[in-house]
Amino acid sequence: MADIGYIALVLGFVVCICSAAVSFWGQMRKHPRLTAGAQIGVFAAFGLVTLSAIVLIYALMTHDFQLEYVASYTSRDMSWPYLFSAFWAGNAGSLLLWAWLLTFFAVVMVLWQRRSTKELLPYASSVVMLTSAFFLLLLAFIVNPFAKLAAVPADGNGLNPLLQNPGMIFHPPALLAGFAALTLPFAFAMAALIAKRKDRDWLADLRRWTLIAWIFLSIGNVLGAWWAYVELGWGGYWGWDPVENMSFIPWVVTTALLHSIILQRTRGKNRIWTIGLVIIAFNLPILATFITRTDVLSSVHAFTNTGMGPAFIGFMELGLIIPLVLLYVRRHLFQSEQKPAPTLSKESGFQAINIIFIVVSAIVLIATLFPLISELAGGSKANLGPSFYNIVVGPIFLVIILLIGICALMGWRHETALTLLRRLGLPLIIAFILGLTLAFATSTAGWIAVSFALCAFAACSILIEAYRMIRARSQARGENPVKALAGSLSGSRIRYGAMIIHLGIILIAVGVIGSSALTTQKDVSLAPGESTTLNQYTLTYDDLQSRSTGSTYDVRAILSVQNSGHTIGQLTPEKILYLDSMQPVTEVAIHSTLREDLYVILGGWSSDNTAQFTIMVRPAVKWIWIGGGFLLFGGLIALWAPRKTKPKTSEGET
Amino acid sequence: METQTEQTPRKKNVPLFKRKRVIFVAAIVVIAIAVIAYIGISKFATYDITVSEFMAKADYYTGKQVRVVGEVVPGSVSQDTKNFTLSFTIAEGNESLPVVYQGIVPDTFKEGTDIVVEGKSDQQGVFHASQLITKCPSKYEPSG
Repeated sequence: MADIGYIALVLGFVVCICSAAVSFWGQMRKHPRLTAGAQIGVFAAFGLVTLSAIVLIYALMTHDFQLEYVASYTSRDMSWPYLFSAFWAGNAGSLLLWAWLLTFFAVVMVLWQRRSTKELLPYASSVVMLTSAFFLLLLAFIVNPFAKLAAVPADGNGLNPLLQNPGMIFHPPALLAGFAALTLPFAFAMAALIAKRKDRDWLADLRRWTLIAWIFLSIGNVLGAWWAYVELGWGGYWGWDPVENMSFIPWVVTTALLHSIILQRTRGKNRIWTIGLVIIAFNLPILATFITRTDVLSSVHAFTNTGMGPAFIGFMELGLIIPLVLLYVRRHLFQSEQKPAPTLSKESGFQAINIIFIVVSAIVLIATLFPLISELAGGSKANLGPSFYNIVVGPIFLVIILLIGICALMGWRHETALTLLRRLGLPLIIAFILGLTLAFATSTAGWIAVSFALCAFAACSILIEAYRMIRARSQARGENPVKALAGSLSGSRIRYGAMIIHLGIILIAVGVIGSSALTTQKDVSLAPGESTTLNQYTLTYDDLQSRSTGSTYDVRAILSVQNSGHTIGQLTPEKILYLDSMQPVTEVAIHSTLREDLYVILGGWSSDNTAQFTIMVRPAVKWIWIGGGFLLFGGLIALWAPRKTKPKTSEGET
Repeated sequence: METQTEQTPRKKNVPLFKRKRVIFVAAIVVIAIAVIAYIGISKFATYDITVSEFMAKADYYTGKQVRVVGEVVPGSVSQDTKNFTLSFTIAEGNESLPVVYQGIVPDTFKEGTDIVVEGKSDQQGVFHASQLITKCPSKYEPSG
């Protein structure tokens, strides 16, 4: 059975290489039959990788412990969702998922083709197939998921208890899908370079796939934060761990890429930026995988050394050198023929945003690699902790929020300072009032008041932008506001999608500022019956209960909670000890409201049932998750946008 | 409207003044951020040193924020639940260092594993950790 999976991997590798070569050559020589055949190869590759994935899943589900992978990540007592998720718990399995997603996206790309970019498709599919071939090569020859053990163990090691959380089921696949999807913008960009396309029409494909990757990366990052918050039991959601950073940087670069594409589509600017960002975005996930899975840096997420280093370095070099050579050969496509944007215009706003995004990613990347850099530079291993990132990245993100607010109400081309100021008047006034109230009426620190005021400013601008769009439509067509809203929503889905996403970013910013600046925390030791208060909450420690299931020993503390005198229920923080690995897992208890989260960690206990708690009140955390929902919703609306570009192009379908 | 996407405007050379201004603004942004980053690095960088490196220059490191890497000596761990205090010894080579930590103990803290303690040592040679970073070989690999 497992042999079938392995053979499918090897065959898949061969098919990918053949399809890539035939596709490329067929399009170069204009042989439609060859390219059609290569497309069948895409489907075949998808079928083969799917087959091998099914074989692995079947082995996981049926406890085929002869396979090293199954024995390493599952055990007999695991429930089926976690058995299934063990598919991507290890290095080999997650690479197989990556390869599967790549071939899946390749199939979608072939089925979802547009008439006007038909000639690009063979080149693009060639690039995707080559990338898939790289992953299949790794799987077939370096980290075979179907490797067998000499002796079949009676039971497996089981999944690390920390991974047994619903987050495990959605977070890794979402991130991997984002990583894999970043191959497609790259493929289309390379295809456009090879085919010498100078028009803007192919940008529709580029935008579509970049947006898909962006949506997956957003979901992946927010889910990762949520998982850390509810499962890892340290009260935070983001620790600037190398692996977190390496999934954050692709998100930032993809965001910059989206803005660059918009600028190029609507104004014809920024071509070289777009291509450059596409190349960077494609290589980042490869770099991320290389860093996190080859022992270069230590991190909580790290995989142990897997021997994939040289292969990854080789692939990254190809992934950088080939596009750069191609870019050089095709440099005539990028000759600057436009005037630079006036200082006060949406164009320069977009360009500023892009520069800032690039700088942020560079800083985070350098800081992540800093231990490595400082060691190579001859010093000892220097680390940059979360405080560095918060001090440096925090203010930059506030500037981004400010730019969101300004750009929302700024027009393309030229603006005079006066009209802009007049338009921004209302948001500015609201922001000032809010900021001053926070700073003086309540005793909020200055920079927090400024941060919240900036968020209010940006949110206000976006709402005014929406209002103006609806009003313009209702005046132009004499429609009532509701109908105008519906009409303008379906007419400019991209813009509304962007507004929703930007509102989501602001919500996340509010959540991050509130929870990081205004958290109160208390460590207490309580005997049964004693109570403690934090802010308006009173927690009474009622009882400590323990029970043992077959594989775990659970201890839970029962606390009844009152909010300003009103009972709001019980919180039961737990510690679960997994007996086979002797690994304790903290299960925090959270009482979550829109205003704030009450977060209780059971730290430990002694024989007389005196227990140790860490209690936190973290304001506005829920807004981060809601903001994440906005990102998804807005992204989907923008993705659903009509294919037509705004200007009525002569070519392109209707 | 922009029917033809690629008309070439008359002039290829944009006014030097405007181009310079764009570069100038970009340069200021980049320099500003680089300065912030530099200050950040000089202020927040902490160094990983091993226990023996730490002991070799104990006087120099006393009172300085450092990260020390070592193995949690089996049998050295004692936890005072009432006062939230965890004390243990980390060792590397022939040297060992007593550590005191107050706060929530990470789930992955175990005797016999490698750990990074971040904090300062006092005059008596006791290391007061503000953070324990368990260098768990991995979250993903089975603990076996």
